[in-house]
Amino acid sequence: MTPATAPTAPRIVGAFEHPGRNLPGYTMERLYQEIAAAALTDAGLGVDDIDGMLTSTVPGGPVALAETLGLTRLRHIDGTDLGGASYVAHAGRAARLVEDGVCSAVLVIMGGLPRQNLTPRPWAAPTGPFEEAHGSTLIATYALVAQRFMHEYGVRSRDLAEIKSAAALHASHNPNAYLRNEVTVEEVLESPWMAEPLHRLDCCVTTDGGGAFVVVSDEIARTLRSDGPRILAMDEGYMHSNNGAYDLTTGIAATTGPNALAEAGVSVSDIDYASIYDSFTITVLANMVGIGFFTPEEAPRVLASGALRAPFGSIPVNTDGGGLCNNHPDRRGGMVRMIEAVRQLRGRANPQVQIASPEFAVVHGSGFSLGTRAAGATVILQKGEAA
Amino acid sequence: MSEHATGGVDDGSSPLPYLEVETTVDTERFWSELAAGRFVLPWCSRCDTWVWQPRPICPRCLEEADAERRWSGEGAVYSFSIVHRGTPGFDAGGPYVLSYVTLDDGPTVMSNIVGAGALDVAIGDRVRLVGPVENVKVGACRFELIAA
Repeated sequence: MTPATAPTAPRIVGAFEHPGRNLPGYTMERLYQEIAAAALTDAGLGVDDIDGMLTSTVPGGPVALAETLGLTRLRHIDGTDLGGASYVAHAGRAARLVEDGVCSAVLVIMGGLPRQNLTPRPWAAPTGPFEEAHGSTLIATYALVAQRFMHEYGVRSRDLAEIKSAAALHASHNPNAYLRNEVTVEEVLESPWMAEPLHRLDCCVTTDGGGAFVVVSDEIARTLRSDGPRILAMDEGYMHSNNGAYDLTTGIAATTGPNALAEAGVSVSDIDYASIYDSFTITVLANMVGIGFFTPEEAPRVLASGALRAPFGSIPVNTDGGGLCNNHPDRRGGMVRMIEAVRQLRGRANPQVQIASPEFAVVHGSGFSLGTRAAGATVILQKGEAA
Repeated sequence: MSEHATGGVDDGSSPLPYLEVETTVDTERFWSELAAGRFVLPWCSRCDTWVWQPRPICPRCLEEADAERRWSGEGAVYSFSIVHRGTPGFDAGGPYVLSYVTLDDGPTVMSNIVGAGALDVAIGDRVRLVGPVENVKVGACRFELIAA
C-alpha cells in the first residue's frame, strides 16, 4: 500500500516526559506546572499561545488545572476520562480541534503522584460490587484475558515473557527508566505468580510523574520550524460487560487499529515504530493482534524472533522501556506511549534504540481493564519535516 | 461435596469470605437471592433478555424490565485466573479462583470456582452454583465443578 500522506495534518510540536519516577515532597500543582513549562519550551510557545487544554480526571476538575497553569485564553477544555487511553484519544481530539479551527494550540497534559498517595481517581463504577464480591483485582482481570488467549490460540507464558524482556532491553538504555536491568524470558517465568497466568514481571511499574504534548496546525508548526510529527488519524472505542456477553480475545484494537490505519491510508507493513500500551504483557499481545501486526497463532514465532527489539526488530515496540520498565505515571500510560512515538519520529530516542529514519508510527492506548470494561484509542503519526 | 438438583451448598471447604459489598435498592434482591443459593435476574419480555448487572430497567430498550427469571445455576467456565495476590480476606487461605462463568441460557458473570478440585479448573469445565452454608445478607457467584 502506498501511504497517502496528509501534508497539512496537525502536528505535535512539543513533548515532555517528566524525568521523575518517585517524587516525595511534590504537590500535584508543582508537577503539572513543571510538565507544562517544559512541554511549552520544547514547542517554542508560551502560556498565552495555548487556547485548548485536554486532560483527564484532575483534582477539582479541568478548570482548576487551567487555573494552576495560568491558562487564560482557553476556548476548549476536555477532561474526558478514558483511563490510560485518554491521552492517545486526546491526540486525535486535539487534531480535530485544530482542523476545525476551534483552537490553534492545544496542550494535552497529565500527571500523578500515586507513590505519594496523591492521585485523582474517577468515581467507582456502579458494577464494582459485582467484582469486589469475588476478590477481583486489576491484574486478575487481565489474567482472565491472558487465560482465554492461551485457551483459544495456544499463546504461552513464554510468549508474553518475550514482551517484558524486550521492554527491559530498551529500558537498559534509558537513564530515566524506573527499572533498568535486563530481564530474560526465564526470569519472567520464574518470578512469583500474581494472578495466573501473569507473573510479577508481566506487570507494569507504578510511578509518579507525567507528561504533556502540544498540538498545532501545520502552518504554525512551520512558523516554529518544528520537526514534530503529523497526526494522520485517530480512532477510539470502548467495551464493557454488554449485558453479560464477553469476548475477551476480540479487543477494542481490532476495531480502532484497522480504522485508524485506513483513515491514514497506511498498512501495518508501513509502520516503523509502535507504542503499544503495556499495563501488562498481555495488553501488548492483545493490542498488537487487534491492530493486525500478527495473528495470535503467529505470536510465538514473531515474538521469539526479537521483532519487538529496537533498533533492528521488524516492529520495535516501546523503545523507552514502556510501562513495564520505564514509566507508568499515575497508572495511566497513554501519555508516555505518545511521547516515545514523538521522540522516535524526531530522531530523539535514546541512541541505542533509535530506529533509522522512521516514517510512520502507531500508538495504541488502553484504559481501565480489557477484562471488564475498557477504552481504547489508536493514533497514526507521520514524521514531520522541519521547515 | 453434597449434591443438589439446583443450586447447592458450600460445604465450608471454601475459605472465601462473603463480603457485605454495597447494595442498592436496585441490586439488593439479586444479592439476597444469591445468599439463598438462587441466581435470579430481572427479565425484559420486550427484548427477550435478562438484565445483567441486575437493574429494574433493561439496558437494551431502557424500559422497565417486566419480569424475573431464575436460572438453574449450571454453566461453563469461560475464563479463570488462580489469584495469588488477591484482595484482603480472599488470599488469606492461599490462592483462589476468579472466573467468568457463562450460565446455561444466561449471562457470563464474574464469579469464583470453589470446592473440590477448584485449583485444577479448566476453561469449558461444567460448574454449578453453590450457596453459603451460614446465613449471610449478601451472596456471591460461587460455583463448584460438576464431576465429569
